[in-house]
Order: sequence, then C-alpha cells, then structure tokens
Amino acid sequence: MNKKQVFAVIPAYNEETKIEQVIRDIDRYVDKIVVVDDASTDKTVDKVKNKKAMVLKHLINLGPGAAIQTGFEYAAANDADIVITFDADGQFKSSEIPLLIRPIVEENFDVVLGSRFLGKALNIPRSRLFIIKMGILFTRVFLGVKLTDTHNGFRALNRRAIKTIKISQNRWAHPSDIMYQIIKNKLRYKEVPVTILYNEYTKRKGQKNLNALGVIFDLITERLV
Amino acid sequence: MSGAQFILSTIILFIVYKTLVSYRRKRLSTSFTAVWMILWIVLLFFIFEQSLSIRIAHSIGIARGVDLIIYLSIIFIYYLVYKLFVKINDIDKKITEIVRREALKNSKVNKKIKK
Repeated sequence: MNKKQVFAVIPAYNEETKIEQVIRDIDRYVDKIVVVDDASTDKTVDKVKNKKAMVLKHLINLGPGAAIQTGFEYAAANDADIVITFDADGQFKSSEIPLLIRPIVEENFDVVLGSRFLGKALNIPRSRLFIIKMGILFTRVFLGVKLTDTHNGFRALNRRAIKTIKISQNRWAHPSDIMYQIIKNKLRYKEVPVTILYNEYTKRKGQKNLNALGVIFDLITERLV
Repeated sequence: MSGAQFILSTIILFIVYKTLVSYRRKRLSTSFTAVWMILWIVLLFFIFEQSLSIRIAHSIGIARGVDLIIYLSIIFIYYLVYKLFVKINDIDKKITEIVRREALKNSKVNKKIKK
C-alpha cells in the first residue's frame, strides 16, 4: 500500500479555524496534501504551513466541484496513484483514510465512496437527513444506481478515475456529476462505511437545505445544454 | 388612430431609435440589429393592420389576432432565453478553465520557491 503515491485533495473556502488541524490529522496517511483555496476571504491560505501541503489558489470563487477538479488535474500531473477528497471543515475522520484506500489497492476498484449510512452520521439534523435521502432517491431514479450515500465528499479515486472524470458541475451538484461519470465511464466503485461528524460549525458551514433545489436545477439544465 | 395604437407605436419607435443608436455606437452587430428591427417593424405593422393578424389567426384556428401575436412572442422569448442560457453556460465554463489554469500555473511557481 505504501508504494502508491496518495494525495489528499482538500477544497477549502474560508476554513481558517479548521484547516491547520485537518492537515495535521491527515498528514500521516498521505504523501501529499493539495489544498485548493476557492478564493477564501479569510486567512485559510496563511494557515497552510505543512511541508507536504501545496496550495492552489482560485482567483475567484467557483465552488467545491471546481476546486476538486483543479485538485484532480494537479494530482494527475504530479503522478498521484490515489486521490482522497477530504473536506476542510473537520467533518471526516482521517483515521478512516486507509479504509478508502484498501479496496483500490487490494481489490482493484477505481473509486471508493464513503457512506455515512453504512457507517455513522453523528448528530445529523433531521432536515439534512431528509434532503440526503431525497438525493439518494433522485440518484436511484435518474442514474439507476443503488447507493446508500450519494452526497458524501469523502472518497478515494485511482489514477484512471481522476484522469477520466471531468467534473463540470462547479457547485453543489458535483457529487451527482461524479457519480454520473463513474457510471458512464464504467469505473468500478464500492461504498465503505465512514463517520461524518455534525456540530454547530459544520452545520453552519455546510450546504444549506435549499441548495437541493439549485442542485436539481443545475443537473437538469446541464443535460439540456 | 386609437389611444392604444398611439401609445404602443410610440414605445416601439423609441425602441427602434435606441436600437439604431446602439448600432451606430457599434454595440450591436448588423445581423442582430436587422433581425431586431424587423421584429419591431412587423409588430408595428400588426398594430395598425389588425385585420390581417385576425385573418391569419383564424386561418390556423386561433380566435384572436392578438392571441397569435402573444403565442409567437412567447415562443420567441423561450428561444431567446435558451440561447442566452447556452451562452452563459459556455462563458461560465471558459471562466472556470481560466481560473483553473492560473491556479495550476502558480503551483509550478510555488514549487520553484519551495526548492
């Protein structure tokens, strides 16, 4: 497992209070940390001091989907074998990174998706749970895919996957976009249980429930165009 | 000339005037200006020749001439909105690509500094 170059791609927007700790936590599990700063207006970039970390800065705010794609392109150009996408707000447990890497290394999967419903979703608000369940149903109906968690940012992809997937949804529809491309390109995928932590900070920083309408609109109009 | 015809034709003539001013200032292309002018002149024509729009409407099963004008306008507006949407989407993709290239280019600069 150690022979594979593992990169962590962290899309970040105004995470000055969390980014340092997140990087410290994931340091021992990865070979390189790629923080994609999505035009933060706070000191997020200044807080990235780890020697393993590279900061890519967007000049304007594009959205988490765009930030992840930028991270993918950097990783692909720099010989990454495996990329972990990891949120900057401290919602994920870094100790679970090996759980996502293992199926890629040992079972030849291209993509490993974290699932809070196979694992744990601690203190998840009811309204958020409802929206996520609707997202799962939407994915089942429109993509014909049975997943237990369709909007989880904790995932691992191999080199083939990061070179194949081109995320076109810049904002909050990107998980559905990624899933669509996994299916379209016949990438082998698997879900593994992960823990997602909800606290006042992550609830405030995370997606607003009304974003779900925007996500549906973005996905439908993308197909039209 | 009725009151409605006077008001509508005044508005249309004002729009035609503003269009010509924009064209002269090179803010609009010749083809767009031509199409836009034709649309407004046709509308102006039907304001004064309502009997023609009524005859056309009846011939295709629509009760009133003004309904025909409204249906055609709605179709045209939907088409314009679609074209605008496609254009905006295209521009959005190009902006994303530029911002991404800049971020990746600067990563190479950072690499040199770190070494």
